[in-house]
Amino acid sequence: MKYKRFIISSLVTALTLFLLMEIIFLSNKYIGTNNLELITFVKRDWIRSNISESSSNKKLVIALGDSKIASSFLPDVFDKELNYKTFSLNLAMVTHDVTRNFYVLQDFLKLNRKPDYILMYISYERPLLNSLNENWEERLYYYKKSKNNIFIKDYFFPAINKNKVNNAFINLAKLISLNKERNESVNHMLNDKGAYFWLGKYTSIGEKKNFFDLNIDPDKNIHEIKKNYLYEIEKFLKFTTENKIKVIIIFPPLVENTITINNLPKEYIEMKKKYPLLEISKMTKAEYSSELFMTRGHTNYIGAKEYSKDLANSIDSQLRIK
Amino acid sequence: MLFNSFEFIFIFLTCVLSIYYYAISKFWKKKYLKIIIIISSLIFYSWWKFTNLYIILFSVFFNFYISKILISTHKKKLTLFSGILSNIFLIGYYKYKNFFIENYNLTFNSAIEIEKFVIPLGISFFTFQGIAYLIDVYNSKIKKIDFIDFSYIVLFFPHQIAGPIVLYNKIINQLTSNNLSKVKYDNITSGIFLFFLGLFKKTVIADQFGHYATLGFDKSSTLNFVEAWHTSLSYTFQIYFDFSGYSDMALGLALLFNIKLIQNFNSPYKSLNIQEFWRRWHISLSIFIRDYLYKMLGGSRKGFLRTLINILITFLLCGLWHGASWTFVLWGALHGLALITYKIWKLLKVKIHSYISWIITFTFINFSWVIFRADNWVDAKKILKGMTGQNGILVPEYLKDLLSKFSVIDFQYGVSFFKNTEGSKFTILFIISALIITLFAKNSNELNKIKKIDMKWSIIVGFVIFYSIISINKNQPFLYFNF
Repeated sequence: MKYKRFIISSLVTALTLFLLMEIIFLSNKYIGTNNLELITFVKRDWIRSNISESSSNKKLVIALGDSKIASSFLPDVFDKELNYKTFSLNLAMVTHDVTRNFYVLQDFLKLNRKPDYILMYISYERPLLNSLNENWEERLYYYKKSKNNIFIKDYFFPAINKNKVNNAFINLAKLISLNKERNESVNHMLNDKGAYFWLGKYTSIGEKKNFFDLNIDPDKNIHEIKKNYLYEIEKFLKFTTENKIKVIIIFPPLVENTITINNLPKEYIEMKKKYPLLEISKMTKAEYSSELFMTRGHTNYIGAKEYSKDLANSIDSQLRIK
Repeated sequence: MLFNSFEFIFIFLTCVLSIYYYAISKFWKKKYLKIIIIISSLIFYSWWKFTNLYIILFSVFFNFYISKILISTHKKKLTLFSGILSNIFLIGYYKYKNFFIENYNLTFNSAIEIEKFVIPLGISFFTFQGIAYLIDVYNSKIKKIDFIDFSYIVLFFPHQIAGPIVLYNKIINQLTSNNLSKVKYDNITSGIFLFFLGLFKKTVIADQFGHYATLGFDKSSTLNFVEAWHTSLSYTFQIYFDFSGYSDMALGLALLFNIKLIQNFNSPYKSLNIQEFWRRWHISLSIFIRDYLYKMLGGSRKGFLRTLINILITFLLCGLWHGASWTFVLWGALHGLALITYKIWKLLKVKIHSYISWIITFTFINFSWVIFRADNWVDAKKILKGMTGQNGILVPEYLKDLLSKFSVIDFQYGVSFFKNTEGSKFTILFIISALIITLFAKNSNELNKIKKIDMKWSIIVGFVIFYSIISINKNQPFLYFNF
């Protein structure tokens, strides 16, 4: 084999492998720049392919929120008390925000009738860890889908492992595969002056331009809602109002004597005035014994049962009074 | 611009190669081919920091000017002395000024302000090449000088930043040869092979070890026994594959332009003693310090004791050459002392088994890299304390029954070997695999020689190109860029 042909065939081999990789990655919808993104894709996919409500007689409820609600809210316990059909569509992500709740709602609406109620918890402190939903079926689905991906990413493509996301070839495939997803979200969430936050990393128009987080400092025990976060909540509420879906803001269980929510933030009260379909749970002091918790913010199974029952009763009485 | 970056491979190198081979196809004179390389190399250098371009240009112009005087003047010694002194002043000002001020402030309790600036890249290399060139002109080893050739040799971008140190009279024949203006496909094949093999070593292997080394050295406050060894070995293999990768890339790049650079790296961890190690590690630097420092001090010609003193001085300066820090000086001193010990051992004619001598040599090198890598003595102590078991030996619970027989050692039991750093059984396996590769696999030059020009090898090369490129992580510069 002549040298010239050797060089050409080497380059052709490399090029073929690049193309092959691009094809593989293009067909893979689970490509993410980090594990959080990966979890989001898999979980959203799970929602799209598995949640389909058929019972039309019962009131349909979906619960959204962060890991605190994911670990503490048990739909079956809640349903047993109220005879509703409830889904916990919780991504249980670090700094779970309204923006992502909005995507989840969009996914749900593609497959189902409009829910009667949305139970929504908005993070008031930066959660420490991301955890998976207590729904074992979903957890298994996640592991099955993501395990190989993480393995392949970490061991065979170090350039896209964790924060090393500078590989142009991988990024090309990833960007194309993310494009549709992002456009969809951007269309929903962007207005002329807004920025788009995507999983704590980049926005479509710059890095961390607007970081939406409902920030209440637990140490100072003060409630402060950031203005740009309110903007996202309002977007969400406008959508639910237009679609005549009742939103109930709920609060997670807390270990007794840690954080006390004495007064509702005034922004909540103002929002309530503005959106008649918005309810705020009266169970603002959901304090439980530390034995019912696995971490400071996350209950164990017994705690979750107790909290779900209490929440059901509280909401029931609140809605009955209405 | 790093060799392991997309802009270098797909923009800079592609453009330079296209222009160069276009010029060859149009039968341009060698002189113009050299000018293409000189201009490209200046662009390459100015990419880092445009304003530093004048430093390397000054070095080139100044050294050539001095060499011209050396050829014509009768006051050769004085000219050489002033030339060398100017080069030392240049490197001293940019590389060691702050180090000197820091130590002066510390010793005399003064507060002279330290001016913060980035050390010009490659300054240790181009000033050394300048010094070597002047000495060779002085000793009449170089009789004919040419400005374009000299500029080409100093600026040639494949070795400009981190070596190998190229000596004028070792390469000048290649610059005057007609081969320079020919399309030589065997050179291009070897060049591509070596370049991407080097890139593979850097991006796939060295950067991975670098991750573990950084965790241990920079991000942990304490390390247990396994973690400390894991950290030190990670750095030992990081620097090996990083420098080996860089050397392959430099050699490969030069071959693309029909230049054969000196082999700078020859499986150094196979060495059975410290002298052999220095004949295999950074060969061009070893040759430089042997010929232009050790021999200038008298080498081994002035008695045994003086030889030992010369070795120590040479290695102290070699350590300081690597960086303006006491840890580098200590590292150099340790290597000097190791070589002195080896010389005495040889004199005593005591023979030891080659396995044992390898273990001693490798362990010493591993320990010395800890000093070399640590930012300061506190960091080095942290690792060394862990390596000597002073922070306890953490082992997984499942080994409790097995290890209970060794009651002399106070084991701590936990979930795994690792508590303060990332690590697992797989990373330990990764280190063992690296050791096996460094000891038993053929090195790049051997592979380049045995590779066949057939379909099987073209697929292998194609895979290496593919995989090394997709593994590029542009945040990881070569370690030797710091020296």
